Amino acid sequence: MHRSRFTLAGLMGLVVAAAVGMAALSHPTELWFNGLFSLAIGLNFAAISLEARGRTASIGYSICGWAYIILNFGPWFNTNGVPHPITDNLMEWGYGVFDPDVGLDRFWFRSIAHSLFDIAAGLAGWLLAWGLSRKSHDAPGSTISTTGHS
Amino acid sequence: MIFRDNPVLLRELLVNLRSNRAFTLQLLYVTFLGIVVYFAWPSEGKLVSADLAQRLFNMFFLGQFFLVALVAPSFAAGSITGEKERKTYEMLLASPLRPSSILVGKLLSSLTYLVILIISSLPLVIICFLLGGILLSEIARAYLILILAAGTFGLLSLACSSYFSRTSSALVVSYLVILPVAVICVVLTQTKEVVLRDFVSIAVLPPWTLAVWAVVILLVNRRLLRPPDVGSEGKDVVDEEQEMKYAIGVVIDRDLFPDKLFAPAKRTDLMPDGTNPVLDKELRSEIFSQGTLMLRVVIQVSMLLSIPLMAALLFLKPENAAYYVSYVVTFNLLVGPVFSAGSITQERERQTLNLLLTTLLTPGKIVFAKLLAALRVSTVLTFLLTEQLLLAYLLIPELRDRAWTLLVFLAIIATTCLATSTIGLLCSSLSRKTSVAMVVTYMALLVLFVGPVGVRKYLEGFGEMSYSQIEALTITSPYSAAFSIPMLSSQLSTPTARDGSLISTEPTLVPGIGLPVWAVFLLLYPILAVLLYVATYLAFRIRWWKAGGTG
Repeated sequence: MHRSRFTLAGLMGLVVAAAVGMAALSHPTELWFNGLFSLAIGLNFAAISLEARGRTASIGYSICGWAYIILNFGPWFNTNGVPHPITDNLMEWGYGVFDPDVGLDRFWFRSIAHSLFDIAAGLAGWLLAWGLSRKSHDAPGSTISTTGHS
Repeated sequence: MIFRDNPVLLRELLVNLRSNRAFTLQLLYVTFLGIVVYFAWPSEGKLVSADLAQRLFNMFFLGQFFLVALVAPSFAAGSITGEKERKTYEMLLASPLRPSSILVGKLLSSLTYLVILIISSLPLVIICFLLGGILLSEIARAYLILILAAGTFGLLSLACSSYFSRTSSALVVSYLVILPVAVICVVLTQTKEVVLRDFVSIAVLPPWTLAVWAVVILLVNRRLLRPPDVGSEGKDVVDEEQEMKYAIGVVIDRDLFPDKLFAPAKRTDLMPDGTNPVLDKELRSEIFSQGTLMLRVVIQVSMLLSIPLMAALLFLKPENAAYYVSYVVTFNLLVGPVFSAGSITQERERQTLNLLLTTLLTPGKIVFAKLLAALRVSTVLTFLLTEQLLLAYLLIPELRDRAWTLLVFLAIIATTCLATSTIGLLCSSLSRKTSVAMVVTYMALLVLFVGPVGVRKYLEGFGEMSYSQIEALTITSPYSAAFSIPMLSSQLSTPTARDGSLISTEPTLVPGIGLPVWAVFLLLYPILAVLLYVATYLAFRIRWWKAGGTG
């Protein structure tokens, strides 16, 4: 039976990730966007090239990560009448929370938020694929392995 | 059977309510509230406005709410673990009583006295009603919230008590679970938006509370029906490897950083010459002797709770950094005594103290090792929560410009760790039972840390002392020390916060000393810690002499 476990160092890593995201959103600049967007793209590429134990999960990360990028940074992104994903509403709410009186740059705020949502979408895909692969792996008589070798 | 003629309930009520201690505590409580009202009462040349009456009522409510949050776990968290520690748990389960009867009996017996205390304050609150500015419906709403809170906190503590084998573990996890619930409850019910406040108090809280009660009752009932820990009686050492097989969430790996800072790997070789064996044993074996569940829950809850707090208090409003430091200090206040208050009493309970006293180790060496072990574990666990503070100072320009305040905050947290450990160790050397030592430690820490904040709030509204004189009364509180640090960004030309409110630029100096509160706090506690350590040493030494005399 598999159990969800993580180390204390992993928990501290989660805090670092949350802090970086919060710092970027509270002080949205082009530099923060460039850094986070490069990170998001880099993780999507890294997920494709990963051939380790979590192969299925990394494919899930890559598919969801790239899908989010294409949907939100594609040429149709600024076209009127095209429906926008729910993350746009979340972003508007987040912009209100981050105190617009301070004069946050809305464009960079949205761009940074999209980069963070891309990483979150990738992680959601990673978890989904991991869960599905584990389920099929645990099924009686199944020969599918999470390592990619059947 | 569940309510009437419930033997568990009858026995507990007879033992608890007929004691002199119960009467004395109630008398002291009502006297204290009476004094608070007496000094705030309008007299010749002293008028009390409706606003001040409202303030007095809010103080009453908040004070009683925190009393419920603090006392409910101390009564309920030991109700089942106490049976385990007294070796009567299995007998209780083997009796013809149904689990629901045991649960209701334990819960009601734990909370009855607390509810009596709450109700005994009602006449004094009604007297405040005569001052004007308060509606009867507000009083009814406040008491409804208090009763619901008492039930919820009691049930949560009872659930912790059924999951852990030691009262100290159940108590600290209960406090940690209750802390966020209490803060959310206070924020929602004390908001200035009257409509929201009434809606939450009447339409949201009661159904949610009842739902939580139902879930917790089912969980505890199931655990009492099929108890997995029968046979251990809370005394057996838990096999670490076996426990890790079934662990979920955070796992502790003694070979990894930062785990090895508070839990170094078990020794497989002989101790080198000059090693303090008590310190070695405390650090490498004692911490995990009853399993890692408590530690893992404490770490997970505190770290996960710190993420939204970090976002709200450090990144959204950097000038509120002192509030985050208060959270870290509160964490240490709750966790610190667990490792220090049981240091010596546990040796007594296991009947190994006399054995320890017959070794060649000197009392000084034993006490110092106990202090160092408790201090190390509690400091490392507390400083895990300062990662958020360091990241905020690194990533937020407004805070980066005031790097010196980070050093002061860290010094305040370290000093608090020292204070909680030394006070806990002193209480441990003076008490016979760990549960008594823990409660006494918590009381002492509350008086030193939280008491001055309450006194300040009271005197600011009703006293005639100057601001600096009031500040001088709070030098023992790390909360006051943290809030006395001026958090003003040097990049801002005017002393305003991000929301435009004014910020005090001049720190208030303590009269007679000429230093700000944080500086006095940092100077005071190291001296106090040395004195407390000497007192602990003397208490232990007297026992050593007695052991030598009887031997």
